[in-house]
Amino acid sequence: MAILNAASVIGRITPNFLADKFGPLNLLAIMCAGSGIMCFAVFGAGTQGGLIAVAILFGFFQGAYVSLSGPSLIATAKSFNEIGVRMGMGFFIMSFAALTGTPITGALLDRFGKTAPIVWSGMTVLMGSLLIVGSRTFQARAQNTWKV
Amino acid sequence: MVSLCKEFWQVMLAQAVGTGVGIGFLFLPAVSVLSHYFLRRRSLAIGIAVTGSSVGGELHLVIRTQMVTDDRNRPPHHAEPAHSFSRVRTRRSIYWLSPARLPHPRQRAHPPPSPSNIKDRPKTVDEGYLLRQSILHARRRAVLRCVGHFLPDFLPPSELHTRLPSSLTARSSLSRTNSVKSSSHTLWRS
Repeated sequence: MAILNAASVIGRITPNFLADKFGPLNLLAIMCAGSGIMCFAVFGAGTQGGLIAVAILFGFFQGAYVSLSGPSLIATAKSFNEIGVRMGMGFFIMSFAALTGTPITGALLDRFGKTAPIVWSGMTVLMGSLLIVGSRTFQARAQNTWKV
Repeated sequence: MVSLCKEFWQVMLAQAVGTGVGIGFLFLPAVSVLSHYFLRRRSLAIGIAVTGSSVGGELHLVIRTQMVTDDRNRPPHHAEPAHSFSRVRTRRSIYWLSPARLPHPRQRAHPPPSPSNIKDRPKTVDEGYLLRQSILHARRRAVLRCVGHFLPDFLPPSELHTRLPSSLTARSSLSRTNSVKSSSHTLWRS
């Protein structure tokens, strides 16, 4: 946990610095995909060194997701006054996933062992990144620029 | 809250309510305020603000690990070691840092002079200056006190044990040799 938190410090600043140049939604999709891949990489982490490497990379991508979710919601706002509404809507929908995700993972761990929750988490995050790619495409079409 | 839980649903309730209230009342307003203030480099500003939570998670892990090792390595003649992260210290530091100790912004140092003697009143000292200085002094003292309370928690316990006064070490060695007098110590140890 300490390694993951330390890696997420870098992951929370560096992508946000790049997000001003390349657009937050673009970077959010990449970081979410990386986070999903790192979920599956837990299968290959047999040794302690491997687990530390996965913790560092997962912390980086997960930290980027946490810090980029706010700016990417702001990027969808049409005007200055819409920022609060967009953020409220976004985090309201996120709350359902936050409510159900952890109990589902716990139930899978109890019933099927370690493999099922890892596959569930990885597939959920990858599906989420696909949805972000979709919203990025619609947003780019609406704003007529690739930098969203 | 989680430390008080006995059932699984209580853990879920404490986590859900605590996290929900914390994120709803602190995290989201902080992010939205920053997004309204910064027009250029908005993402970077939010990223730096959000980094605070991971730094806090890191610090809490270090402090809790230190607390657990303190409890395990606690010497028998110490009811509470001087370097433990005790509740009293936390409470004291929060009390000294709390704005309740500072005067209210609308509070006046003295009641305003009545219109009759407003011209006759001698102006000896700048009362506002004195008030500001006292507030600054209280803040400085609170920060120093906080540093003094929390800094020993990050020191290794072995280094502090070597600095114990010789009377304590002598008493512990005496209690080991004398079986009659050391009954309370052996009981405490078990």
